[in-house]
Amino acid sequence: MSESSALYQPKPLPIRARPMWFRAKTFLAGFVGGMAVLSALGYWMGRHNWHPGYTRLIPAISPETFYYPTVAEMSAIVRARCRPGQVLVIIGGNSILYGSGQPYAELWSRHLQHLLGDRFCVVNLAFRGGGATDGAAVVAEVLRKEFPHQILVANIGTVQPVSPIGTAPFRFMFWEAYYKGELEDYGPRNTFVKQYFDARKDRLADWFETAGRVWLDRALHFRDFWNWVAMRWFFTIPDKYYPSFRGQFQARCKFKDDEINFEDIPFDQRFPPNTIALETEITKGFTQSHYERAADGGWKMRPDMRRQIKSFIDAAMPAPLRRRTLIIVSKNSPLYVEHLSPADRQRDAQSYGDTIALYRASDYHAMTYPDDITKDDYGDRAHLTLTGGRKLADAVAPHIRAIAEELGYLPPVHP
Amino acid sequence: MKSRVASVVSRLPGPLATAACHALSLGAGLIAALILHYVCYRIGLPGKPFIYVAF
Repeated sequence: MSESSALYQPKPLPIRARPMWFRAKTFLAGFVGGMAVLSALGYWMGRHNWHPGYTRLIPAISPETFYYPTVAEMSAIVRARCRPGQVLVIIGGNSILYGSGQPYAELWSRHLQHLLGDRFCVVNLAFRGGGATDGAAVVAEVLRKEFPHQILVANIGTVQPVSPIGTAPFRFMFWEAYYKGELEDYGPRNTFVKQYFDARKDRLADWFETAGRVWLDRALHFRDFWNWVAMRWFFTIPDKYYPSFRGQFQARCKFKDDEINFEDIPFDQRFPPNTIALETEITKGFTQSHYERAADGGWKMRPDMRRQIKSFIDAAMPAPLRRRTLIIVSKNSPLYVEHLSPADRQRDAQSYGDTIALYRASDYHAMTYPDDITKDDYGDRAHLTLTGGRKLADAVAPHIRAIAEELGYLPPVHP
Repeated sequence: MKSRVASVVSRLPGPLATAACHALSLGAGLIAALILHYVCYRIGLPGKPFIYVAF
């Protein structure tokens, strides 16, 4: 043995065991118990309304700011507002029916409620940027047995179909209801679901991620629990919509519905001259690719476009649900339509009747704006002012009453 | 080398030390559950809010 090795004998390092206070079984009990309590809380919260001051899906409680309301959460909003026996009128669609540019006090759907009276209960569940089969449509279908007397009101642009599985930013609600088995088992829509995953590169991984996420939430109810925390206590995800530190992390219940009023903006400032050309092109683009010249020099919808729209709208929901759906075909501001060429203007005007006919042929109810909505009733190309909203409500109310009578929601009126 | 927690616990009388160990372990389990529950919520959300997504 060398002299150096005799002098230096490294001591064996002590094996760092778990902390001396750690008890594995107790830790596991705490973990399992904690998950059980959180899941139970999430389940319980999903059945209660934690939006007592609900007006509509303002940005603070929408995916625009990382808040993804659950189907249970939105269903609870409906239950809190509507009594059994009332005809439930759910407003869906996009920012037009959401009422962008209309302060809540004079929101068009509130005027609609006033016109319809207490026999009806109007709940605005439209998302800014949403589609006719997003959010509100999913909630309406989920509540179809609890509120059998219901009418869904949603809007589309002219010659636009409705997606059977919702639109990308809001499809999370469709997946949630679909994989929880809360929607009607409807073959044509199931086919769309299958095609959706077949078209994806990693279809098995995508399906597992989509369905697996829903199934995990079904067991652990984490979305309902953490949405409740976000709504009531603090938010945990910073985003650019609210630039201040306080805005990013404060409880979402502290945000108010402070929608601007288009009518506070002078007309000329709503429609700056430098935007007219672009907005006119957008208006033209709604129908440009859907039509071809007819033999008589007029316009006819392209057969392939007609077939595509019909296949989508037939698959979007089962026939009984289509019969209780009112589709409003939204119009662009006449200010831009006036800038179209005579031929484009003719096509644009024709498209509304064609779209309404297509939807009615598939058992939807359908309408478009009344003729008394003028360019003064718009805040921009698409959205209506307070005055325009009132006119829309005036036109929608009779349709809703007619649907309610047709479907037997209302007791017969004896002469 | 003992941690501060271990030092405090080791100075307690026997039954109290045992109870403290179980309490700490239970608390750690609860915290782990809270973290995992929150992680499940976060991984289900998209990486960017939809207004930044082209559709």
